[in-house]
Amino acid sequence: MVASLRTAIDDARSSAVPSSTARPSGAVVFALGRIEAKHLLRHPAFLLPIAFGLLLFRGAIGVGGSSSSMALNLAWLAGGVSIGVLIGAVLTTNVAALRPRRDHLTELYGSLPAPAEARTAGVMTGLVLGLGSLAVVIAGATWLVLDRVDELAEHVDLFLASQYVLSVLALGAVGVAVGRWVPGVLGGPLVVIAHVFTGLIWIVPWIAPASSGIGVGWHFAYLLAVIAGFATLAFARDRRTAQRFVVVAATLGLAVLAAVEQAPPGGY
Amino acid sequence: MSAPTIEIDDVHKRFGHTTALRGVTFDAATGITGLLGPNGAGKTTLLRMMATVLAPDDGRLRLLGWDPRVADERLAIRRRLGYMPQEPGFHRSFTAFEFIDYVAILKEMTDRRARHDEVRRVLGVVDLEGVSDRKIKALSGGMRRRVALAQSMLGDPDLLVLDEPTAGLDPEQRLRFREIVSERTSDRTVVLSTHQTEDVAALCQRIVVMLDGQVLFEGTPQELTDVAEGRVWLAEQRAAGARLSWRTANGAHRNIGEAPPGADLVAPTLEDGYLLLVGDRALSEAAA
Repeated sequence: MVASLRTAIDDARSSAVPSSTARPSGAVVFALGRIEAKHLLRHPAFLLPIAFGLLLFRGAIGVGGSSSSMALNLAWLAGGVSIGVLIGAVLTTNVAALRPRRDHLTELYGSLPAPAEARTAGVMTGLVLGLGSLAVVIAGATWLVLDRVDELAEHVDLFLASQYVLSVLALGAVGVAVGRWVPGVLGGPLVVIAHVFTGLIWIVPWIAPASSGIGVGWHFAYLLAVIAGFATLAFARDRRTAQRFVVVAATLGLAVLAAVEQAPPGGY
Repeated sequence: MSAPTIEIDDVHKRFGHTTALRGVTFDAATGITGLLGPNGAGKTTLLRMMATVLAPDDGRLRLLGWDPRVADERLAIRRRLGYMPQEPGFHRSFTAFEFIDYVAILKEMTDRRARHDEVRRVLGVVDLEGVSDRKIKALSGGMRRRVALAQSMLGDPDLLVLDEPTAGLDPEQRLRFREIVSERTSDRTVVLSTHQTEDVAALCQRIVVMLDGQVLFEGTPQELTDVAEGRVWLAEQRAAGARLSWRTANGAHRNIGEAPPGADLVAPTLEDGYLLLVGDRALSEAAA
């Protein structure tokens, strides 16, 4: 077994595409980002969770009976879209990161001057340009809607809106990192499923109002550390340097610390 | 021959227990060089090395004057290289235009307007302007190969490496391919592999025949044709000494091998020369 493993490693090494030393230029990354943004937003892996979220929350419309206001109903719909975008961010970025390998393009792309990091950076840029911009719009619109619902208005503020945008970026970064390291198409869906079914989503919430008692500073630190950690993890797949793995360890370590520290003393 | 743009000297490559190349040596200059050989001869391995996506285990390889083992020189090669792999992949959800545009960006064409003009140019060269906004998954196999060919021509590269570019093309498309590739080869180097000896005869100034990871022949199409000189004849039936024989449209048997005295010899083709060359080696190996 050791011999066959050694043979497999030797085969992989002898077939490996010699890497490109060029650093991805900003112009290349931005141009790729524009294309990626369009495809991230149009991909069924992004649109279907939104449709699912809308359908799910549509059932909640009118639960307040005749007292249910239009604003409250809109709030439910905004919630559906918001959750759909969060789930879709993981799935669509995961698909985009997998695409070159899934479509058997690693050989062709290996012959081109732009390094593999340019493609990863392109997906990250597409995440910011496409999903990030959409998240800003959704966060703003949801803020306007929720502000008109008496029961919710007190919980809505810039903190809530900005953490939604950061959460979309963080989940997108997770999707890219998983896509770069896990070859199968099930990586993204498994992240979503594991997240929900392990209860992690409740223990370490992505979005929580300041009124819940969550440590605001620690929560921002948590979201930023997740973005930085998983983005660096994705790039570490393209060029495995010790420096990158140190950054991954440090940022994900900070994320764990922040996840613990952000929780209110008595729990949420 | 002008100064070589491809220099390959005693190149070896192994994959596990399989030896793909065993001491391959040849040079290629500007113009079109065709690689011929049966499946498993090592053509694709060699072309992948010329495309800088595979490193030799041993030996010397220089492309456009640079050494692909040196990272900076490899980058310089990639900036002047066009490559069409044997089994080109595609982003099926992209349109033909989007896919070639994506490749163009990875070729560091960052000026959007100039890049789009170049994408339209190469799509025009392969006659795909009319379907440029159609998704690749909706294109036929032949159209997809033309998309792959189009991307390889982005930026008018100095070195064009094409692995079986005519596979899956209909006769009309193959003729169009010859027209495309033969243009502007006076200052460009094109290396292509194919099983179509007609393409090689029609296009290539030089031919390299490979077998079992070695170069069996290197020369001009005429020199390969000459291998069969005096060894192709027509007869009413399959001749006893014929290595290969088939019934032609007019009913006569075309025999290839050692012609008997008084045989009705006919002018050989490049394919005859190739078949005899590969067949001779197979026979000598069997005898050994």
